[in-house]
Amino acid sequence: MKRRDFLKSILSLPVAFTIASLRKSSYAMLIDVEKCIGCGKCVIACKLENNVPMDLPISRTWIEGYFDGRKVVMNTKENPFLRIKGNKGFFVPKLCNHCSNAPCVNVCPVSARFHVDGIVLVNKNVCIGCKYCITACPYGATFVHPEEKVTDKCTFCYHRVKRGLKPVCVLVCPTGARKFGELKEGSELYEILKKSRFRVLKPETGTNPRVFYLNLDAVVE
Amino acid sequence: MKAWKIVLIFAMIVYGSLYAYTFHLSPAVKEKSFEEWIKIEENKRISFLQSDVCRECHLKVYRIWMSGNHSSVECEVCHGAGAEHAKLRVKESIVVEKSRDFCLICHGEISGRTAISVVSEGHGSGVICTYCHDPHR
Amino acid sequence: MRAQELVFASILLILIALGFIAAYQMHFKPLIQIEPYESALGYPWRFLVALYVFLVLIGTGAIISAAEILGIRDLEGVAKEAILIAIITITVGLITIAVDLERIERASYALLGYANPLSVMYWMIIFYVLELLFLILEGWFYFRRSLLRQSESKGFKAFVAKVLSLKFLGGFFSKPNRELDLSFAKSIGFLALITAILAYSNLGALFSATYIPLWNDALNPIYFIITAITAGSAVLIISTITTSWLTGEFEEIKRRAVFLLGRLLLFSLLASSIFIIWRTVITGYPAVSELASYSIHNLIFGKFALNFWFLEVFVGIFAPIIALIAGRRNMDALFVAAFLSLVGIFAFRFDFVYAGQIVKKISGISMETAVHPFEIMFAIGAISLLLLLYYILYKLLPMEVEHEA
Repeated sequence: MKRRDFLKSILSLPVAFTIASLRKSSYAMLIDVEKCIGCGKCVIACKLENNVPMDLPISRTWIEGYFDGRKVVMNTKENPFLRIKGNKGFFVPKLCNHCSNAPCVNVCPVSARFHVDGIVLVNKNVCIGCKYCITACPYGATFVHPEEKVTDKCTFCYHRVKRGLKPVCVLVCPTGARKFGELKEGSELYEILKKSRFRVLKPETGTNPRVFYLNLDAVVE
Repeated sequence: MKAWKIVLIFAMIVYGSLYAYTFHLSPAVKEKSFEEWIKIEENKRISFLQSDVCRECHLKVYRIWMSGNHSSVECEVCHGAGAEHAKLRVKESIVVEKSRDFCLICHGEISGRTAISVVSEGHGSGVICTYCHDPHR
Repeated sequence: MRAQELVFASILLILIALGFIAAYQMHFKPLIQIEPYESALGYPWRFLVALYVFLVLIGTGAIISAAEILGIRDLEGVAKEAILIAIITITVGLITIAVDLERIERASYALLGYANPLSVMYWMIIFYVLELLFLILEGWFYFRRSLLRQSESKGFKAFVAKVLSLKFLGGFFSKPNRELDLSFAKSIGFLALITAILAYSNLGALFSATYIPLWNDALNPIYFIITAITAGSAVLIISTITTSWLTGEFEEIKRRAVFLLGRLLLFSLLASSIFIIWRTVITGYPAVSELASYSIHNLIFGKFALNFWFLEVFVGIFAPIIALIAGRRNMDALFVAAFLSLVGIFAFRFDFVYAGQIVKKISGISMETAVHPFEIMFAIGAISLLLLLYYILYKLLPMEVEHEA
C-alpha cells in the first residue's frame, strides 16, 4: 500500500463500533530504531507510572534486542543487553500499536475495549478476563494484570496526554527515539512521515497500526 | 393451534428480543460505561513530571543542564519519577545514583548503540564516572 | 448394591470437592501464594479452554447423534440419554469456562448490557445459553409422559417426578397428551438443533477468525462438527453399554441404537482422518506461510509430536477404525473404540489450543507450556461432577424408551 493510502486510512474513522462522542484527535507514535540504545528506561518508567509489577516479565512496552540473528527481550527492571557482545545488533521498542482496526476491540465479548482519540483503552471495570484479546493481538501487546486480574495494555498514558503531557516512555527516552503526537495536517509526526520511509509491524494482518517505525530491519516480525 | 406454530412464535420472540438487546439496549449501557471509564482514566495519578517543574527549585542546575551535552535527556531519565519529590521535597524521595554501572546502562559498549557515545571497559575502569565527568553537562 | 452405590457416589463427591478447592485456589489463592500461573505468564488459553471445547462439543454432538427429532427410528433407544448427556455436558462445560475467566463474578456481563455484536465469542455465549434453555424445554416435553406416570407411585422418585413435571400446577400439567408432547418436543428439538448449529459454528469461528495459522482455517467449524459427532456418539455408546452392564439388561432397541451409533462413529472417524491429514499438510506446506510452518513443525516434530502421533492419530483415529471394522457386531469392540476415540478427541482439543498459540513465542510475551496441577485437579472434579449428575439423574428420572409408534 502506498504511503498516502496508509495515512488516509489512518485519518479515517476506525472500523469497529465507535461511540457517539468520539473525540476527534488522532494520536500516533513514531519510533526511530536507529536511535534506540536499549537502555530500558522506558520499560521501567512505564511500569512505575502505570502500576505494573516490576519483577514479572510482563510489560506494557518492551524492548527486543536482535543480535546476530538472536532475539533477547527486556520487559523487567533488569537489562539483559548489557552483557551481550556481538557484531550486528539493534533494539526495537514495541508496545501496543493502537490499531485503527484493532483485533482486540473486535473480539472482546463485553466491549471492554474501545477507541478514543485514536487510542484504544481498556475498561477494567467491565473486563471479564476471558483472554480473547491476548489471543487475538498479533503483536503480543496485551497481558493479564496479576493483581487486578483483568487484561491490561499500553494506553499511550491517556491520563497524561489529556493534561498535555507526553507518555512516560516518550519522556524518559534519552535519545528521543520515540515521538508522540497527533496525526493531522501540519503536525510534527505528519511532516516526518510525509518525507521518510516508514514501516509498521505485520501489515498483512490488516490492523492499521498507529505506531510507525523508521529504519526497521526486515527480520523484525 | 398446532405445536410448531407456537414454537415458531416463541422462537421469534426469543430471537427478536436478542436482536433488540444486542443492537439497541446494549449500546446505551456500553457508552455510559465508556464515559465513566474515560473519567476514571483521566484522574489516574501521575508519577513523572517534566523538567520545567524541576526548574522551579533547581534553576542553577537546570541552566547548566540546558547548555550541556545531556540537554536532550530529561531530568527524570536518571533521577526517576519526580512527582513524589515535587510534593515532599526531600532528598529521599528522588533517585540519585552515582555508580559506574548506572552510567553504563546507556553509555556501555554493546553492539547497536550508534546514536550515543559509548565507552569501553578500559576507559577509567573501576572508577566512578562522576569523579571526572559532570553528569549535568 | 446400595453400599457400592454409596461408595461410588462418595468417591465422586470427594473428587468434586477437590475440583472445587482447585477452582477456589486458582482464583483467591488462600492456601498457597504461588506466582500467578494463569496467563500473566504464559499462554492465555490453556487446559480449561481445551476442556471446555471438549465438553461443549460432546453436548452438541450428542444432540446431533441422537437426531431423534429428525425421525430416525433406530435411535429411539438412546434419545433420552442423549438429551440428558447434552444438558449435563453443556452445563459443566459452561461452569468450566466460567472458572477459566479471571473475573468469575463478572461471568454474566455479556448478558447484562455489555454486548459486542462484532465479537464471535459474544454470540457463542448467547447461543450456548439459549441452546441449554431449549434443550431443557425439549427434555421437559419429552420426559413429561413418563414423569407423570412415575409420579403416581410412591417414594422419593415420585416426589421428584411430581416437582419436575409441574403436576402441582394442575390442569394442562397433570394430564399427558401424547401427540402434543411429542410434537412440541420435536419442534423445540428442531429449534435446539438450529441453535446448536449456530453455537458450535461460532465456537469454530472463534478460533478461526484470528491471525493464528493453525486455527485460521475456513473449514474449522466443519471439522469441529465432525469431531463433535465422533465425541457425542462415542459418549452415547459408552453410557449405554455401561448402564446396560450395571443394570444387567440390554433391550433390543438399545442394541440397535448402539450399532447405528457405531456406524456413525466409524464414518465420522473416516471423515475426521481426511480432515486431519489435509489440514496438517496444507497448513504446513512449504511457502504457504512462515508462521503456519512453525506451528505445524511443532505439532509434527516438536513438542506436541508425541501427543499428535500417538494420542491423536493412533489412539484417536487409527485404533478405533480398526476396532470398529473388525468388531462390527461386538459390543466390547464398540466400547473400546468409543473410549479410544474419546481420548483422541481430547488430545486433539489439547493440541489445537496449545500448539496454535505457540506462534506467540515470536512476540514479546514469555510462554510457559506447563499444565498446572490445579487445572488437572479441576478437570478431574469437572468429569466427576459430570458422572455424578448423570448417575443421579439416571436414577431419578424415568429412562424407559419412549416408543413413537
